This record gives sequence, C-alpha cells and structure tokens, in this order.
Amino acid sequence: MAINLLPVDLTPQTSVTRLVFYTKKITTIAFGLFVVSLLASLGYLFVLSSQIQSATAEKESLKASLASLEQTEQSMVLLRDRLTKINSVLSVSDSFDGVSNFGEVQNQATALGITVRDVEMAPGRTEFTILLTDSSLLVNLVASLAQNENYKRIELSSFNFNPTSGYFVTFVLFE
Amino acid sequence: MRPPEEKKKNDLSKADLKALGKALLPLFILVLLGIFVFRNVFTRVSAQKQSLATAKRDVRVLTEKQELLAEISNEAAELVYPLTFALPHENASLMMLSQLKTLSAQSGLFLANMKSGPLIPDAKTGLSRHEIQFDADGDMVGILSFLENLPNAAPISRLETVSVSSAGAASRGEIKLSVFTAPLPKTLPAITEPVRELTDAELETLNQLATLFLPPLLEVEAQGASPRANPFE
Repeated sequence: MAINLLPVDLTPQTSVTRLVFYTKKITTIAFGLFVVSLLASLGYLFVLSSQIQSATAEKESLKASLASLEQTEQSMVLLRDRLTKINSVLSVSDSFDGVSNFGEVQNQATALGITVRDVEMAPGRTEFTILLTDSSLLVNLVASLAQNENYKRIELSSFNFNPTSGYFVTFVLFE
Repeated sequence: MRPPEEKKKNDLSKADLKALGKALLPLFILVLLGIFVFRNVFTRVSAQKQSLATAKRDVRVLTEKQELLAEISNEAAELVYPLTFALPHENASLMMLSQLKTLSAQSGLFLANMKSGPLIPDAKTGLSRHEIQFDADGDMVGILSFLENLPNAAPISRLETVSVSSAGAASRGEIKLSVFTAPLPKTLPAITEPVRELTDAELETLNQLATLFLPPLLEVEAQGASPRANPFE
C-alpha cells in the first residue's frame, strides 16, 4: 500500500479533485465537438464556394450568349421607352374626342336639314352655331342632343333671329 | 470567528486552486478559440450564402432574359419601327406637315398659313412639344373628316383648338395642334436587370400604333463613283 508522504496542505481536496476530473472530461468532449463542428463548417464552406463557382460560370456563359442578343435588347429598351412616353402624351386630354363626338351631332343636324355655321372646339368643350329657317327643327335637334351620351351638359348660349337669314342658335356642349 | 475545522472544509488551498486552474485553463482557451473561430466561420458562411443567392438570382434573370429576347429577336425591329415614327427623336413637325398635306389632299382641303412653333421641352416627361398652326379651306364635312383622320397619322399629335367658320358652302378651319419628340435612350440597363414581358395594355397600344399611317419616306441610295469625262477630248 502506497503511503502519501505529502503534507495534507499540498494535496487538493476530494471535492476539488472530482471537479477537476469532470472539468477535464467536459474539456475533452468540447474539444471533440469543436473539431467536428470546425470540419463540418469547412466542408459546408467548400460546398458553398463550389456552388458559387458553378453559378458564376453559368452566369458568364449566359452573359456571353446575351451579347449576341444586344440588338434585340436595345430594341426592347427603345420600345418600352417610346411606349411609356407615348402613353404620357395620349393621357393628356385634347380635342380629338370632341371632333369625333361632334361628327355625330353634325350628321344629325344635316339629316334634319340644319346647317352648322361655326364650330369652336377646345378640350372638353364644343361650341357651335346653327342656322335654321324653321324654328320647329330646333326641337328635334335639342331632342337628339339630349339623347347623346357623349355630353354631360348642354347649354343654349344664344338665340338670334334675322328676317333675311333665319334663326341663329348657339349651343355649348361639355364632355 | 469560524471554527478551524470549518475553515479547512470550505476554503480552497493553493493546491486546490492550482489543480482547478490546470483543469479550467484549457476549457477557457477552448471557449475563446471557439468563439473566435465560429464567429469567423459564421461571417464567411453568411457572405458565401449571400453571394450564392445573388449568383442564382442573376442566373435565373439572365436565363429568362435570354429566352424572352430569343423569342422576340425576329420581330423586335418590326415592333419598334412604327414607334420611332409615332414619337420621333427629331423632326416631328416636318413629318406632321407632310402628313397634313397628304391628308388634306384626301379630304379635298387647301391648307394655308402653316406655322410651326419653337420646341418647348418638358423636363418632367422628357418630351418636347412643337405647336403647329394652320388654316384649312374647304367644306365643313371635309374639315371634320380631315380632323377625324389626324389621330391615325404618325407622329402622334394632340389637337389643341379648332375653330371652323362657314360662309355659304365654303368653310375655313383654324387649327392648332401639338406634336412631340423625345430623345432616344442613351444607355442600356445593367445586364442582370430583368426584362419584363409586355403587358396586355402595352400590347394593345402597340397594336394601335402599328396601324398608324406613316409619312412617305424617300431613301436615297448611295451612288457608285463614275469616271469623269475628259474636258480636252
């Protein structure tokens, strides 16, 4: 049987010895985990960088093939640019709608035997003067104007009579 | 005062501290090393994952772009052609004056006092506007039909004001309209910028613009060199 000749003060306590034993165990396990995790991380990094390399290579090859389609891309850019700007021009209201709407009114007036003398058009507003020899025709024209859905408001702006020419009637139509 | 036995039990001796230090130091170093290494590894993995996501997105965008461009490569130039007349980058007023003459002849009108105003740029839209004023002599029906046909002619125009007055069968229209120019785009977007397919509304506008009546163009072909005659023979 071995005899411990060391003074009691120089040997660690039993509880401390036990703690040291478990600490060493924990350190060993942690080191193992550290090494395994490090290797796994390095492997994952390697996989990621090889995936990046293959994606970059694919990207470069696509870029090279797109260079041959540059003319088409230019056309596409020009097409989109023109379409955007044309739409912004077309969105501004003008008198073209007024012309086509007034075409109907003019046809109705002609069918009734009424002469359109003057027309003035601005965006959203049409002013026209008619010449009538028979005032009863005015009723028919007003009836057809009232049925026209292109105009939100119709104003009778002036009504003049000249014995030599007839009736001069001015309407203002609002779209 | 604590009794001497209790002190012996609870207090750590030098030997205890030495033993504990020897055991805890490697664990402490390992923890520090772990923090340092895994922080770096985590940063690198995050950066690599981001690079991979960007590269994959670029590949997807480029593939879609290549497919779309290859699909329309034959018809792209044809689609653009009427648009360059509908909204030219220069000379819109000249084109429109030519169109006005053609359309007025079709409606039996005589145009007079044609004036083209200065270029009015609009920084907000990038468009420049020319104002054109002219008088049209003919009959009321002819003037209205001429005005109805104007939206079918390239370049696109906006009718500002119309004033038609008649004296007997003859009518005179004082017409003011605007035509527009816009500079051509100077740069292409980045190659990895996605190309969007045309929407239904854009296709509809495109179909409308494709039916525009284009101004007549005369293409002068280059002539080859001809031998000069000898003036002394």
